[in-house]
Amino acid sequence: MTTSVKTKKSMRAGSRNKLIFYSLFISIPVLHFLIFYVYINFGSILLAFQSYAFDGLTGYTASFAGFDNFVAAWTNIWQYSYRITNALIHLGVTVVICMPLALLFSFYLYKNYLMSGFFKVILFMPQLLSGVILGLLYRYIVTDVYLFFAKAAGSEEAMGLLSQPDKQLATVIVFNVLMSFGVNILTYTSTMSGINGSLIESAQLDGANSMQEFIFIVLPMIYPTIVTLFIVGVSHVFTNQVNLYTLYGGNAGSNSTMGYFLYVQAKDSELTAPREGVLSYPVLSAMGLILTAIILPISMGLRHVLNKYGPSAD
Amino acid sequence: MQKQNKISKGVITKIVMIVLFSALVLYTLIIIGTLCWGLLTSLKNYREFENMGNVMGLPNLNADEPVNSTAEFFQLANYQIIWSNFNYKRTEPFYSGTMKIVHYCDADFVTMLVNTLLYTVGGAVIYAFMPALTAYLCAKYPYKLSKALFVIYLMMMSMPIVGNYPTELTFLRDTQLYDNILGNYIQKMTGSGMYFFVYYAYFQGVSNTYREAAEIDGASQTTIMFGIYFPLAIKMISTVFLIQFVNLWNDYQTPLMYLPTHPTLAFGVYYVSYQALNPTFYHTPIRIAGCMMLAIPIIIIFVIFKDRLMGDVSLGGIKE
Repeated sequence: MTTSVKTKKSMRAGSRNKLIFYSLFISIPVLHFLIFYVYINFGSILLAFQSYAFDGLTGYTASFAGFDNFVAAWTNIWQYSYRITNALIHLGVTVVICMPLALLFSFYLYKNYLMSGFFKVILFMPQLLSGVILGLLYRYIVTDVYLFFAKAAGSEEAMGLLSQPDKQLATVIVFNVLMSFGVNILTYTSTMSGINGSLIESAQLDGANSMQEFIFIVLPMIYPTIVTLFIVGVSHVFTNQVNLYTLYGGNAGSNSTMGYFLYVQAKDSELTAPREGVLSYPVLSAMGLILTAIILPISMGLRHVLNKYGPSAD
Repeated sequence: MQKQNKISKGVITKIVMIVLFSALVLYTLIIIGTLCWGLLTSLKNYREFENMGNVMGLPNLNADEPVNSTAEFFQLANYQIIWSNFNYKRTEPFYSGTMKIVHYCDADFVTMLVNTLLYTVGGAVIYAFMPALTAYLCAKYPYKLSKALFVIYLMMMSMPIVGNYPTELTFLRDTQLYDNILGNYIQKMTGSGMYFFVYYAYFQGVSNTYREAAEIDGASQTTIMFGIYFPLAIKMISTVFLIQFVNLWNDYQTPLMYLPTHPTLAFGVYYVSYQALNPTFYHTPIRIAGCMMLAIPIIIIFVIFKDRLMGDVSLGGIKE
């Protein structure tokens, strides 16, 4: 009897300790979530309905702005719609060029074709050295090296490729294509290596060539991963800076994307607009909400459609 | 007929292989070519590069010629210039509520290196540890909160939120977490993200028997977590640490936004390329030397930990 009571007591103490331990440690990520996700995003909504006045003595004072900030944000989006167009062009390049290339390269590595180990290292290089190193080197190449060759070819061009209006966009796109591999390739090859070998063997026995193997077996088998990476690309369309800050600093001009614009503005701005051409924080918050309202249903809807109507592994 | 099929199958496979091989060779040439050009340019005298027009050639090592690159090549003169002249000054005034605060910085190379180590090592430890901790708690303690957190993190990954910089910056300034390393660490203490799901899958796969046996032996929950489960996952945690270390080492935009008076080396290299007022840095070979200095530590880390960095990171989990 005494033993049973003791056991019950120690079990109760054990689960209490467990709960205390759990509460103590889980409180850190929960608090972080509440502050840096819930509060910050809720704060964005509140900020979008406020306007601020600045006084050197008392700092900032807030007042209700109604929908003024939304009107200002929408006007700005509409007036400089090339930022949206550019963002969509870069998304198109990602989907039409970068993803298929990454898949084909991953297939090459997965099949262990000639020098695949070496190529894996090279494809990982942009991830390792990142935009800041390769971006700055690229910037000098499309300026100094380009002008060197232009001069050698007898041309009198005086501006690098990043400064020529008709070549700027293509130059930025080429750099982003070069930088787009890395983790994507590792993710695809890892997923491909999980495909059951007997499936590939039986297809080969049935006379399938490499392309058939790729199209009819590998792609359907890794389809969920492709969808995930595609949706990530779509959902980041308005936050993707496409390395413009590395290539242009704060002066990307007509090459700007929404992601780049929001970053530069937030960096330079305050609760009140510090100078002409810079939007205040409340207007930027309203802009963020408008863009979220556009992209959220699109990415959720796309995910649903792609998962429902995409190829099945069966 | 069957023989013909076999031949055509072989031909198509070969064509596919050749096309992909050629594309990969081209890509390799671009990447290696860029790095080699950068390295060679960083070893050239700026007058040789700019005035003599030696943009593509090897550095001129003939010491008898008036313009040559012997000092740059043999004594790494451009690198020494960066080392001794690297300097960043900034005044950052901001309001924390109604209080005006002004931060100053006058950072040389060593200060930037210290900032970089604090930013990258501390940040990578937090980014590797926090998702592991949260995943462990969610996987091994089936309370309602664990399930809710899992669903919330899943939703966070698929819900794009655009443009919350302003609120974040205002909050950080008001709480005085802006522009200090501790504030940046707190900002990073999230349990969410892709690695949460990687760790979660791992901890779910590890048997509960270890824990039950330890509990019978009287081990505390802390001992079970830090003494049994985390050592089992140490390879995975260290892989995530390395990946995050590389990412943070190269990240200059976050310090520029949230730590403006704590410049890191990546930010310094960017600054030298765009905004430096010191005329010493106006020359391309010297700027490129800065880029190469930033790349060297990462290349060393890659050589040592290549297999771990390029290990099988998949959306389903890290294979050890």
